[in-house]
Amino acid sequence: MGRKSKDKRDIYYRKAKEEGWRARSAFKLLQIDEDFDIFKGVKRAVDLCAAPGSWSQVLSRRLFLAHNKRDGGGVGDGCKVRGAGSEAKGPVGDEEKEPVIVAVDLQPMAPVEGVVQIQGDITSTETATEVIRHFEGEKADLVVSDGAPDVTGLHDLDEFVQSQLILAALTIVTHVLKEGGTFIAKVFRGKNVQLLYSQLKMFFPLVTVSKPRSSRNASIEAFVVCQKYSPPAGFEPEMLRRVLEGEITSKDLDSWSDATKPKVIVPFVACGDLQGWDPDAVVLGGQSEASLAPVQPPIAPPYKRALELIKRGRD
Amino acid sequence: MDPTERRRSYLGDVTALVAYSAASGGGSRLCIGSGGVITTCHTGTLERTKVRVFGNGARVHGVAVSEEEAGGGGGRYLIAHGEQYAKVYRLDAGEELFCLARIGPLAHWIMDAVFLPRAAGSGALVRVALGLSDNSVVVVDVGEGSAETCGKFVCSRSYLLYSMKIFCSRGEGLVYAAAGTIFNSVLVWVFPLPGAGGRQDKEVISCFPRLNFVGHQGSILKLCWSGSGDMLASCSDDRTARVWSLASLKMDAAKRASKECETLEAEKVIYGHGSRLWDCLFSGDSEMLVTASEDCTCKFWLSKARKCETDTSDLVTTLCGHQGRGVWRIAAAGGYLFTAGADGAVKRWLLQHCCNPSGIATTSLPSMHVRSFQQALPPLPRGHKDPGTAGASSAPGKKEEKSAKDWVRCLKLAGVDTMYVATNQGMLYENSVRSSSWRSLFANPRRMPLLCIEVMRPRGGRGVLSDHFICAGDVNGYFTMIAVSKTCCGPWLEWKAHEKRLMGIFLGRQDEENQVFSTDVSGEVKWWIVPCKDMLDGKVKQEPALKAKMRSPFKMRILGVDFCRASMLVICGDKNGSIMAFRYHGGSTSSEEPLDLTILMQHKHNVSPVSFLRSRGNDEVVSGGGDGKLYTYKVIPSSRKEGEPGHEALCQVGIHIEKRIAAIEEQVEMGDGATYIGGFQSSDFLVWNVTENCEVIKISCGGWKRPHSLYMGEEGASFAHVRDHVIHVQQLEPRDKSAQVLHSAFSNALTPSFHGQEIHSTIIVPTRCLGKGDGAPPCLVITGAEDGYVRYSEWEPDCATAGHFKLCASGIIGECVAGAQVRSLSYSGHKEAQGAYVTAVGAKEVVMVWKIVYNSSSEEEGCLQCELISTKEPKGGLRPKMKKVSAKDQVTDLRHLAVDTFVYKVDGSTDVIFMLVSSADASVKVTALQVDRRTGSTKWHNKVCDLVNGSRNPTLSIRWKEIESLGTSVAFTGSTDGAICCWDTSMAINSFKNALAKGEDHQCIEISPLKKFQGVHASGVNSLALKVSASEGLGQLQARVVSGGDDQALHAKEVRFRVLDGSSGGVAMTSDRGAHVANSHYSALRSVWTDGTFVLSTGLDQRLNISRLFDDEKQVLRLELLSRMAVEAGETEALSAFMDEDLCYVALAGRGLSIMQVALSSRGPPKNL
Repeated sequence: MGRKSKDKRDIYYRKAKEEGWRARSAFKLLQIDEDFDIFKGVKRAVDLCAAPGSWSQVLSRRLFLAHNKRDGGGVGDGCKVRGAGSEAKGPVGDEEKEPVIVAVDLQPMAPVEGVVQIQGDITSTETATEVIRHFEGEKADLVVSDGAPDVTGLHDLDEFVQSQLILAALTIVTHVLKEGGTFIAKVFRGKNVQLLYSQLKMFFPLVTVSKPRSSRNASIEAFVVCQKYSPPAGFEPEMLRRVLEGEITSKDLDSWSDATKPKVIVPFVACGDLQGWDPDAVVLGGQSEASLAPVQPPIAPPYKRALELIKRGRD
Repeated sequence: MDPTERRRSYLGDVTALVAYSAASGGGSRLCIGSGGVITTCHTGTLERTKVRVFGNGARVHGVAVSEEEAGGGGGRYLIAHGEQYAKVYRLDAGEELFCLARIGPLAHWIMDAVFLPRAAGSGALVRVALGLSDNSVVVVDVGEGSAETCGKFVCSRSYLLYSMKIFCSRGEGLVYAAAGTIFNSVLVWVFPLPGAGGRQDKEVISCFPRLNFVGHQGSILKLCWSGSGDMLASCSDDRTARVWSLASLKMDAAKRASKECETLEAEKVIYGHGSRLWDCLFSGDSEMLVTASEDCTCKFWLSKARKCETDTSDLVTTLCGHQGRGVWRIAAAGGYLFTAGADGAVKRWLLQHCCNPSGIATTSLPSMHVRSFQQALPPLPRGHKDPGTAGASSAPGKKEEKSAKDWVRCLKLAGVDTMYVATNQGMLYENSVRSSSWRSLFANPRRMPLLCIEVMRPRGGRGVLSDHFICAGDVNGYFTMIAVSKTCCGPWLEWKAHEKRLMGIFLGRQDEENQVFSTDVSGEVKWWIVPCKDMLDGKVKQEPALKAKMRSPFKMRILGVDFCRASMLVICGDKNGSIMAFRYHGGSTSSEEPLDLTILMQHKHNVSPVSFLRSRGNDEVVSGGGDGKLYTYKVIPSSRKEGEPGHEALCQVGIHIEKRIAAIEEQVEMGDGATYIGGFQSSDFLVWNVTENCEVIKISCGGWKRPHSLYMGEEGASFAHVRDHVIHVQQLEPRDKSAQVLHSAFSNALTPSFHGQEIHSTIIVPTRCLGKGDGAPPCLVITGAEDGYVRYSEWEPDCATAGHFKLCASGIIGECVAGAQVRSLSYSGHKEAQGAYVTAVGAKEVVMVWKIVYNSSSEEEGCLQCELISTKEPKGGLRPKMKKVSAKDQVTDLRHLAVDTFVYKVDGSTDVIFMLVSSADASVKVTALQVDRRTGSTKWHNKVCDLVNGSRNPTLSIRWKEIESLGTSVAFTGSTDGAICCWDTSMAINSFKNALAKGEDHQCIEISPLKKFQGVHASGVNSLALKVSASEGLGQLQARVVSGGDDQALHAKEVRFRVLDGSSGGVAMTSDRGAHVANSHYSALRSVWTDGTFVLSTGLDQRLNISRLFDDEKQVLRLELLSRMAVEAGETEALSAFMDEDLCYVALAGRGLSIMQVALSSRGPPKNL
């Protein structure tokens, strides 16, 4: 999302900066929570493809900082990154325990208070084991993923890669999510999204597609909220790929018109306050004139080097 | 009756391209994959075969053609793949395609498909290898109607892939797979060619990666093997192409046996594109690499050079000529390179031209070739040879260069081969370029330099001996006309036109009078009528008559003059980019009295010189300048311009910024409306075909400060320039001299180009409503896109290919000022066939209106004529203001979101177009455009009516309908909060009409909604469709409005109105009821259409849903889904349809345009009754 692109500098872009979020996508998770109450009773949460970390920030503020405030512990200055110190405490009841948040990404990320970072591949078993190690052998209540590939602009390819990314995230979900847990992921609602829904339905009886108000009206992006994780009987995480592939090949979509009645119906929920900010609207006046610096500067784009060379050529 | 699809076609991006030489000899052929269709095309005759590959909306991602000749038949095999499917075809000698077998759906996407040698003894016809997205390869034996897997090879690192390319090394008996992984590395792994089908081949064989090529920083979008398989090239999102060597793997047999994976860096990294790279291709000898990028260029690079990444000198040449989202696919065969991409155009380039840019001139037109000539001036005649005499006779104070040699002051091409040259010594020559023969036409008796020449071909008075006249102007202000014919020549007239230097001669109209303008160095313009009777016909020499004169207030040299007859204005452009106009009173005043200056636009071309200025058509003026911009103006007659009585205005109605040319010199319009622009780009002179978007010729001439001339005609083109005292002439002539040269020879496009960017709005109309007769293509589709263009395309059912449409014609209706994107279109026509108005709104709050009509004149009968009616720019101007604005005035991202219009015919000559427009600031307003059909003059009425108290969120969709007989108009608007408002605009419209009739001022009226339906959708109302039916006797109206929401729901509402008593036309709502389908699509709905019974809807899920709106037995309104079809146009945003009896023609647009014909029957009962 280019900073120079006027079309995209909507009200949420500004609000994110004002409230200290690293990206405006933080509002999307907050708005999903307004409708689904996803943080209730969550003690262990995983953020997949976390960088630049706006969803980790939400998890941190809503779980970790909220817990500490409730305990009267207050919020310390600076960044308190969890480490060995917290493990030194004696065994305490689940209720009093600090929530544990683990963020996984291939890329490094600036630290977020109360969030343990793992730099690793979400499809590998090692990463799953490491996550569970941080949960002290317990499984997660909530897994969220706001990951998306570098979009190419070819929508069918982007949608395919995105759905593959979610299925890859399912690898870690099947390892770390406890039965009855919740999984939230970004989807591109393109041509074959129905296939993805039916694949998710195999693991979650309750799949809802939700569009937060802060996500632009015209964008293809939406979020699947998968609740009450219950894998098929006798399922082992190693079987995942086979189970998923079976779902694809069982469907022959090569017909002039596909079924008028889809096999799975995934309800749609628009979430967030309707009276809230509208990203499609133009806000006239009323803004402070000074432009705000980004909270977290963007990660190196793939063409960074190409730009450097152009710059050097001009000097 | 279920809807049945009869035909469909797709116009848009090309996603697969392969070139091969035809089996039967005779040139190269192309196989183009666009949408779900592959087309094979003979590149010479352009004859083509179309085959639908996928019906499920999957697009063709790749095509491969087999090398070998098939047994006996002399044909080849072809495989096309897309998503999880592949289809194998036999290509017979006649290039017809016969489907052999279908493969899929596989569990993963197919990234590449190649033909492998058939195993001995196998019964299959062909063997193919499919590279899958999980880093595996399946080998399939394909026979007639059968496809059997005979081996599956899986890389031990099963990463997700963005690309794969398989190379079959027959000599080694090995297959190499190169995989571009999601981790931005290229993995190369190898497996042996599978033998004849056996049980062991059906097992899954795991292979270890041998090479890991690292260094890319972005997704690897395409890979390419060199012919020998020794090198691999990859291109990526990181704007680089990288060349990798497989030498270490191939040389070392021991390494081949080991299971270790070697990590290597690139042999060569190629930087230079301005955007991501989509495709790459090695030349036959692997010495060169061609890359295709999203920046719309193709570049040729030396593939084996020093390992120095900053060195861009490896760049051999750059090809430009595509638009939109870039060049996606390249292919080469038979000495040609073919490029295709987002704009749907396939272009052909002669490789010889691409790889050999050393010459002075290059062209990208395969049908033309360049001939270069060099001419030196002939020696001066005896009397001129003495430099002393020349120096002595020069005017006092002027320093003439004392050189025995003469030099060229100006030159003019009058044909491909005819050139006139005027010199410093006052000589005028005619030169025949090819034969290099010179003829001296004239020697200035004063031996003064000739500064300008122009060729005049009088229409009326052509004589026996003089074929045409050459007009020349000299340093002393003398205007000389020389009569020229094939055999003789001689001075005809000479007079002192100006006191100072005569710097320019411009031809006016050549009709009864032969008009010519002359300009001097200080901004004086004189308008002459010259006699052109032949020397022998008229014994008495007539004198030239001064018609008028004018003087620029800036005293700068005038570089372009023309007379605009409709408005009686002489329009001039000067050296500093200013445009001015002088009023001509029709000879009522003395010609010695300078004309009044009425219009002045200082520095319109930003202090760059105006290179040409021309009036065209009735009252349109075009100017081009050294700033690379072309402006189009309309003359607004004085009576129409408010506040300034007696003063005309030039109203700018269009800007075209030619990106390829920095300084525009010339614009040439040829038959069929093809437009060319010539000008300078740094030291090159470039001629660009604007219509086909391709380069005609590029001449490296060293810059603009030299005499030069361009000629373009139907027989070819030439460009002459002077460099180092030598005249260089480049002639473009057709390769096939026998064929008649059409303007298409100035193009390298095999298929026409289309938008190339997202289409936001579309309208399909039957051509008969525009007055087109029987036998004409039945549908006209208008599309407006992100690129700021509004285009049309005409379609008819293709008789030759069942199930397809034929694109009959396509073109541009107009271009939004400054390329502002088009968000919404509206079409409104008269009942009589007098054309229709197309209104486009979009970014920057630009509103543009065009009139379209089918030409009935015999010359261009049946051609769609498009005329710009008016442009409305935002108050703040188009460009952001440089100075700081206060926070209060700061307005970001101004844009219009939706529009609907209808036309009111005031009388025989005046139309009013009423527009209901919504903006992103949540306002909805009615404006009116008054158009005088005869003069074309327009007037905007900005304050007709404001729609207030609706939604406080922006309105995304508008439908508006006028029932003329009742004087009633009702509107429905849908906003981002999911609410639909119903409005009665009758009173405001009628009050405006009354005020207009009486010539009074109209007061803006604010109206509130009749009813606001809250929360119809959970999210934005992306689209509305409206059908209003009136039962006039009872004063009742019934409106059926269908809405498509971002929440995946389809909603239908039936609203009944009672027409109020009195003449206001107002209505009251009497009842409403609705039907709702929550999950009608798998994704957000983007567009809906209805005729009151059938409802068509489309969304981001790329489906076309056909539903039926009916009352069930309990008289409850219901929406029933009849059919769901997948369409090829990605990101489907717009839908439009019309019914022709039981056939429904549907246009669906998004990334590309899908046209469908569906049989619908309104007579049959709904299914569930």
